[in-house]
Amino acid sequence: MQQVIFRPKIRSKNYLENLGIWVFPSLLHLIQAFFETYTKGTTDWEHIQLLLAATGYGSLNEIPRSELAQVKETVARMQPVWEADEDAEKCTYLLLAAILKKDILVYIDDRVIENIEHKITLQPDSIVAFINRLKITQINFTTI
Amino acid sequence: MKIFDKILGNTPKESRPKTNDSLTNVVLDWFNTGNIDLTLFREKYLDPVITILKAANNYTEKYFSEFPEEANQQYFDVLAGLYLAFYTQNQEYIGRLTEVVLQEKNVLDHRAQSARNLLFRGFDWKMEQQNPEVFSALNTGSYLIKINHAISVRKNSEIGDINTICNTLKAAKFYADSTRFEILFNYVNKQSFFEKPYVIFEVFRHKQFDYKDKNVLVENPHQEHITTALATSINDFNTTADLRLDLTILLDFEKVLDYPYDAKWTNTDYKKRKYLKIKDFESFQRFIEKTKGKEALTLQNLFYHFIQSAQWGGEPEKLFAELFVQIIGNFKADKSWIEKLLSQKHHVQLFYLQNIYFPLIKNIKNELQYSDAIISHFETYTFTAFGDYKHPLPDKDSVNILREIVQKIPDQDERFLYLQRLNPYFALLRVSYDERHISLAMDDSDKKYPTLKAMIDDLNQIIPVGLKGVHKKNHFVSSDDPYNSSFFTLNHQGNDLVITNAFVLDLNHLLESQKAGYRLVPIPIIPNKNKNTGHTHVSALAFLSYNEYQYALNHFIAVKFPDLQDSNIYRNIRYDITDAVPFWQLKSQTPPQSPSVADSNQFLADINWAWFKDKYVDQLSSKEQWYDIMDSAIQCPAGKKPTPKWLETINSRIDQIGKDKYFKELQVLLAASLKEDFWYFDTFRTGLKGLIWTCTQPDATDESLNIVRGIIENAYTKVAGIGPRSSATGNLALETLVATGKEEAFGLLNIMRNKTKYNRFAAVLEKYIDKFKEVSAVPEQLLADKAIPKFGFIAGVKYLSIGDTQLKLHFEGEKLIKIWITPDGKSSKSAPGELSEKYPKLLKEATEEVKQINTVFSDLGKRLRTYWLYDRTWSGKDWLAYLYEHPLVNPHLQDQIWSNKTRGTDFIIRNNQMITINETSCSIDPDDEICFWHPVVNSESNINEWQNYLWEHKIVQRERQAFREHYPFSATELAAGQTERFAHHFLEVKKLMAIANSAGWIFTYVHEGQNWPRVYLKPLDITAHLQCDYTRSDFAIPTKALFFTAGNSTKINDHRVKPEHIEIARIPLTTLSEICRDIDLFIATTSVSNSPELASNRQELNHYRMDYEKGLFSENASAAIRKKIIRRLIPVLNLNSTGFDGNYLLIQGSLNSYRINLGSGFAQVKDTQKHINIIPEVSTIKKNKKVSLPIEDDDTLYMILAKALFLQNDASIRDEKILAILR
Repeated sequence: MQQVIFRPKIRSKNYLENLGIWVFPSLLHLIQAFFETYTKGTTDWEHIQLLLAATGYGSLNEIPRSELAQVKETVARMQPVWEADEDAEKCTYLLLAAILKKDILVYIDDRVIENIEHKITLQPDSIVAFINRLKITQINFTTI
Repeated sequence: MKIFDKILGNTPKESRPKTNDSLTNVVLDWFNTGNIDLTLFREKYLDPVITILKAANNYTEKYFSEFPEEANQQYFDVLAGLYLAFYTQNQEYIGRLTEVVLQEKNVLDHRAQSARNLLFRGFDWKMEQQNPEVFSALNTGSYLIKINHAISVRKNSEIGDINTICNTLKAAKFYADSTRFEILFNYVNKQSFFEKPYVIFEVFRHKQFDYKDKNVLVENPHQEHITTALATSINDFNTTADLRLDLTILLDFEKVLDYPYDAKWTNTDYKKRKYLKIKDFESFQRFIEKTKGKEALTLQNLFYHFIQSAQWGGEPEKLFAELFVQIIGNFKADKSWIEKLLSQKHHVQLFYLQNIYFPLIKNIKNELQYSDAIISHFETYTFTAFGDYKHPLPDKDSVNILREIVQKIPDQDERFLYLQRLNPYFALLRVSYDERHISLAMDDSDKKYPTLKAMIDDLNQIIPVGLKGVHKKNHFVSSDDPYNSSFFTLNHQGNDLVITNAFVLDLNHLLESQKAGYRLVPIPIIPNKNKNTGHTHVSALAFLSYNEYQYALNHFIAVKFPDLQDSNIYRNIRYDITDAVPFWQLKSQTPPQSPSVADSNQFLADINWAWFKDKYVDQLSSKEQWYDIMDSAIQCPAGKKPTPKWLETINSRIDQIGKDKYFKELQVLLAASLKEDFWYFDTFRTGLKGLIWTCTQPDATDESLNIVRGIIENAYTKVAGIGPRSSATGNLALETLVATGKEEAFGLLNIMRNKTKYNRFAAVLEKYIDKFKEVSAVPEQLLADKAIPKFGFIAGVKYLSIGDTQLKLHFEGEKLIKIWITPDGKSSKSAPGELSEKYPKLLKEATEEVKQINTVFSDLGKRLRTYWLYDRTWSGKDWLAYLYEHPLVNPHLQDQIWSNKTRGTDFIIRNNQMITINETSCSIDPDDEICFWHPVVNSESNINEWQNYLWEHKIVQRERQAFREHYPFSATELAAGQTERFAHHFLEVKKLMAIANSAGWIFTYVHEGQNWPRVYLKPLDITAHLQCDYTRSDFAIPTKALFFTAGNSTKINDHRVKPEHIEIARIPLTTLSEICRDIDLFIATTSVSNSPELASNRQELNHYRMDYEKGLFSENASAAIRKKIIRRLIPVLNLNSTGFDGNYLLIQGSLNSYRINLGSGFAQVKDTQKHINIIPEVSTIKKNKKVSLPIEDDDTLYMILAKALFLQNDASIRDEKILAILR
């Protein structure tokens, strides 16, 4: 009798969905591929942060109506700069620099990447995480 | 970066439509032809109005500042239009202007459109009051445009219809500036249109009373003018229209219409006005007197008046219905005259059918033949005037009169076809579909389903079927897929047949399989175009034999509905047997039932119960007696209480088998049958009601009360998308339970309350618990303890007899143990084999009873947690009597720790002994105060001692105590009105809703922004809130504060009412700890991120609002992934960790060992499981903006790692408050 074997369903992460290839010559290639292909994440939040940093307000609600025109101007002036900052290549090299400095740790499939030049092979159920060490040390605790 | 355009409201300029200049052309042309001074208009009207509008409205000001050219042009057009309409009152130009404006409506952008709207709306009265010289004229212009639209354009009823003219003129009639009325009235009076007499009559009868003396009418200078115009308009009307109007009758009718000024009306409460009759009003009676002999003329006048106001204008329907009926009386009208009325263009309304056409036709029915044109008109009207939710079925009286007239058809075949065409079950056919899409016209609110039953009754002439249930309509099921939604269940020869919404197809399949010579066939009545259902035909359904069907198809459908003849509906109908007698003949052949035994017993006679008898009753040992009992049960009186006579009959029948036996058999009967759905339908429900009453009247036992409980729980089982199976039966059973006044009944209510997770059921139970409490002086919870049924256990043992074998029941640990003792004294754990052969029914009864005891027993275990949640304490006496010595409660108390508050000692119950931690036995005095031990109110050394004790003795507690997570609060936190210890966690909404609701909290989709999980603790009369920032579109929502309010604030009826927060110190510590434990669970299971930064910064500006979408959160946010990552990071980050314990990361500090939950990020002292309330300092968290990451951060992971580093260095913590927690 013929046996039918079902492959178990693999729940792939969103960030892996658009990757065309699974083997990367080095970490640099993987990071660049991420920056170029992963678009599902909500970028609103980061854009708003940029806007707020440029205007000096803490939240959008604080911006008075009278200053909207001025804010629009700021946006218009800064937009090319911000867009340049979002450039995949630029982001890749900045991130790679931070990884070399060990400020950011890269975790891929049960190992922390030590050598950025090693070949990387991903699976459909791979887990990739970037851990910002500086951020961990920034968090301080208090109580009520 | 399109987001910035969204935030800042930028619209690209090129996409803005160009202004159309046609209106400009019209007004300029108008200025030219009329030779009207443009400069005067500019100076006197245009410039001042624009200045005023700009000052009054920011929006207008913005329009002028941003698009000055366009705004100037638009306002010039609009104001000039208004001015010219007023100045010239030129009908032709007003018409042209309206046409242009309506044409341009869709091409203009919203700014221009809002200016254009002034043409139809005018300016508000405040502006007119402040600047009457300018705005009065412009507003008059706007009224003229509206009136002109209502008279001759009639394209958009929102701009103006006939009632708009009436209202405008009525308002102008008593307006201070009388020129306005003159202009408007003369404008109307100059025109000629069908509704003109109505309009003038309405203006004529509009009155105003003196504001000082309500009885004095204000005189109106225009009245004489209006009266003359009314007479003229009636004369004009009579020369052109079909109807005849009469000034005298209208003037008399005016007095009738003045009923709102009648003392009888004003003195009657507005809710009771609908019960007023015409005999209460002199004016109505006088009118009827006066019009005698002039019925035809009077009716024309009244009819003309009423058809103008489409929605009845609030006239009391019943009063005027009576007026029509009285006027018509026995008046025999001429056929052609009725035809004339019917052919008037008007909104088809049931009111006209019932109160005018039906009585008129009834009076002359003997003179009418079915072939008369008037009957076909009347038939069409009858089948058009229904179909809304209030009148889902055609008017019965009208259909009956049609049937009477059909009887006169001489040809037999034709007569029976038309009779069947008026069957009492109607349907809607969709021409473009097939027979699957035929829907039955039913009154959903009528629970007796008369339409469906009429159809099943007819079906019963062919094959015997019982109607077992109608499925509650699930409105979420798409009607496009009729096969997937079940409609009703039939029982045919003991088999259940679920009939889907494609019922015509299903029933025809059934008829085919039974080799019947009939099929259910739709016979069309009239085409019906309904905007909701599309192109349909109203049709009757009829069971037809082959010959009948052929006749209908060839002589009726082919002639009257040729487009239907070849449709799928008829193409699929097949007959195997072609020689069956016509259905009408079959129906008349059914022999009249002869009185027999079955006839005297309704239960046996009713075909609907036949299958129930076979399937259930016949399986009982005393089935013969049960026939009589069921006969009484299904005849139980309507209403909420049984009558003494009925009770006497049924109880005498029950006594024949004996009460005990009856309840045992009833238990068996219901245990099996309640699993089916039928009990809550129609006759079955009545039967069940009778059975419920027998359980408590004249008296109730533990067993019978438990049967009622079973019914209640079954009736209140939630059906997804619908609600409880039958709240009516559930409530009746609850009512019956409460009416016994027995403490056991109260106990059952409480057991159900503790057990249920269905909020609606819980609320109902609370209500009945309150009812019960009203008559009892004992505190509710103690009453609940007292009321737990004992089921006849004596000294922890109960015996049941099955023939000569005994079944011994007792509890061991938390299990009910069954031991079978045979007559020769042998005992075994399983039932002797021969029992099931010798006494199958008795064995079944015993099994059911054991099952029942087991249900109550396991439900009681859920009460333990409520001892903490409701902060319970007992006197030693009560504790011993109601808890310790209770046969069903006692097993749950084993291995649990208790505190004797009076003596300051603790004890554990082991093997039914009260033992202290030092292994000495102890006792309690009646006056001692006892409570259930909880770690949060005990010292750490005490907790440790008990933990060691449990370790040593290898005790696993049913309700964890010594190893229970607990949540101490600091003094500052206790003094506050709310705490943010659980704040800033993003919880996945859907999961949270499911988990919170199943944990007894309430959190629903309604009242966005004000809704969050909350739970009402009734015995303490407080509500706990876990405040969240909830909106429907969010994937996850951030938690905010935890707070408590007094009373029950779980219902959010008015979100403006903000209940006051109670100081946390006022909440008992055990309650507080248990509530926190729930919240901890919610967070650990549903959290996707712990991000104070994101949580406190929801961004909003203008039309832009940032949702918490899925993409904001890490894809790695799960405990399992965090565990994998942290395992690799331990050496890199130098974490002092020994690994993991389940879902916890273990961390070794100098003061303690700690564990951190990988789901929520909360930390505990490892040994005592004490919650460590440390929260991240929001101000120090800064987003690292230098480097952007390609994928989202998992904020909870950072929180766990930071917490781990913080706690492993606990020696360097300087914050005294934190140290106080850790030490």
